[in-house]
Amino acid sequence: MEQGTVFVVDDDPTLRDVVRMMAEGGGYVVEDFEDAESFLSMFDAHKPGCLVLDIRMPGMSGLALQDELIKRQALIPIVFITGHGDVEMAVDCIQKGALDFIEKPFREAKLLEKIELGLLSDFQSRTELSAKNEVDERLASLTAREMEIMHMIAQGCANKVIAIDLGIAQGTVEIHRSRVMHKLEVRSVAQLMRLLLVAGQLGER
Amino acid sequence: MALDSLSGFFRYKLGRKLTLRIVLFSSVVTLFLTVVQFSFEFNQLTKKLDEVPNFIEKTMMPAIAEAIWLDDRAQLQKLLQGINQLEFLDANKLALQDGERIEYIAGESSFSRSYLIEVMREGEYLGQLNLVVSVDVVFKHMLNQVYIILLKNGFKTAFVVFFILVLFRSMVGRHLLAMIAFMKSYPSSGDPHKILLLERAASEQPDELDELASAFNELHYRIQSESQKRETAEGQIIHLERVGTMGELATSLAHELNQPLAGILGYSDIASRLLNQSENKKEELRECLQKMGNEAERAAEIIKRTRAYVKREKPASETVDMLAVIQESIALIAHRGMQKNVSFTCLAQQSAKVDISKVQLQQVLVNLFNNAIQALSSDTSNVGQKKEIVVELHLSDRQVYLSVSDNGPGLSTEMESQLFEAFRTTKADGLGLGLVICRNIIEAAQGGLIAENNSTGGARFTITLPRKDDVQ
Repeated sequence: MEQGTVFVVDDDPTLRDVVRMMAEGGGYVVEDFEDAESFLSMFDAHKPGCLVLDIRMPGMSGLALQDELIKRQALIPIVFITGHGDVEMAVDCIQKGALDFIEKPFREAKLLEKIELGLLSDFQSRTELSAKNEVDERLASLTAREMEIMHMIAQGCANKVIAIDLGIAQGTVEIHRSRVMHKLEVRSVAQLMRLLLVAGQLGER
Repeated sequence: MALDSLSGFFRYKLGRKLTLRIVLFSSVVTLFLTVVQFSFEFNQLTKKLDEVPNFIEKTMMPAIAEAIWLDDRAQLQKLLQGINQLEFLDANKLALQDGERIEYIAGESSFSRSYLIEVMREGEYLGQLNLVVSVDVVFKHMLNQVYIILLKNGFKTAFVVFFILVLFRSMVGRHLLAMIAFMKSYPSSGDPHKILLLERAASEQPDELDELASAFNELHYRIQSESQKRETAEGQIIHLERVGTMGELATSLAHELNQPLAGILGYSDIASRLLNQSENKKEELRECLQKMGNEAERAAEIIKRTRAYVKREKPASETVDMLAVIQESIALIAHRGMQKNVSFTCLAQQSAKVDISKVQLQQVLVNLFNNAIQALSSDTSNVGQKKEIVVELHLSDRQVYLSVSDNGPGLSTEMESQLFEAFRTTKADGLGLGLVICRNIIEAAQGGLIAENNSTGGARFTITLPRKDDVQ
């Protein structure tokens, strides 16, 4: 597992310093930024990591940065730092997909816990993403007829039923079926179902 | 000395008026009395004149008749000459029955009266005697009298006027002048306990002037104590208003204090971890504790600043640095601005010093900032546009111009006309005193506060204050 970076964006130098010292103490690589703009200019979506972000900042606020990242379809998990009385804003962030928030003032253990969660979540989503990408590739190699037959298999239809429904010979169905299983690199219907689950194509029809 | 004071008194309107009126009145009285005397004497004299022919008729007529009867010319002429010697008589002309006329003329007059006396003897008409009595003499006599009267009265009046003026000046006039001088110097007289004292002789019995002076002193005292009360009340209102904004500042304060608190807590956690680590981290630990101390100091600074702002103090004018006050005021409210996504920009080439109570100037600025923040956050028309408050400081040789402008909706015409009226507010929870108090504070420091709309939209408030640093 590649070590993710902890990105810190906060206008207050003390808070940046505290988060950096805590995270470095926890053994993480830390990069900090004093405003959202300088973070965005350095941001690389392919670089694994998580973002510790102050919700209130002069200029571009934490919320605005989150919106910008959503717009860029970046998946980086965000842990918001909030002041008290910012609960509504925090809820808003979570609904928009932020991982978590931590209220100032905070303990080291709690922050490290959230950073750990953030990096794990980043790793998982990256793994899932690469898995999904692979599945999507395999699915893309199917022909239209194979795709049709695959969906019918996934719905639990027997070869005979498929042949009658499509008006083709049962032998032809069997050939298509073995090609689908081969192309998707699965050996059983159960494995096919799991693959479709990863691809998010289950139950679409 | 008396002349000096007289001329001094004449410089004042009251003296002139008094003189004129006394002279006028005494002239009228003198004239009236003269006329009365004149007519009285005239009557007396005419009576006297009327008696002349009577007297002649009674005493001399029988002798004249006898002389005519006897035709004794010598006797007749003697008698007529004798008559002519009498006072007031101008001429006597005797016309006899037989046509003979004997005339004696002593003089000619412009005003005369003639009397006709018939000469009779034992019922027989012998002729008539025409007596011409001169009134001129009477007039002359009386005119002399009038001159004397007028002259006498003129002198008397002049002396009396002079005396009255001197008296009036010493008894009333100079005290009046003293009172006027005292009252004129009243607002600027440094000592509020100064009282009006009249320079009066110790032997003098107290009179209305003393009463006036003591009544004035009482009034003066009452005004003093009332204005002191008013000053205290105004100070209290200003303070209350400042405390009133505390509610708005409190959220700002909490957020601001949270920063150093988070720092302290964070550093303390880090420090404990460093302590527990096996290797010697003494240097890092020291650094960490140092930072903790800095954060605690920062928190104390924030509290001190806020405490100074709400502290109740006698508003004392001091020489303050404008830029420093602007920055502190922004610091007081910046967090609130950030909550509403409002940013502050301060444009100043150079700072200047002014004489004003620092806390009250802060109050004015916080008020203006608060208003701007509210205007900007209630404005829904410019979503997505950057909300900004710009503070500008401009200097001239004698004045400092501080303007606070926002890019919000600006002031409506209605708002602009009643902006500085008490109890006018557009806010649901406002008293409508904020701007009134702001203007009072600035005006008390010999400055001005005006509101207008920016040419680019948004409202602009400009404070003008006299510069107090050395200007070459």
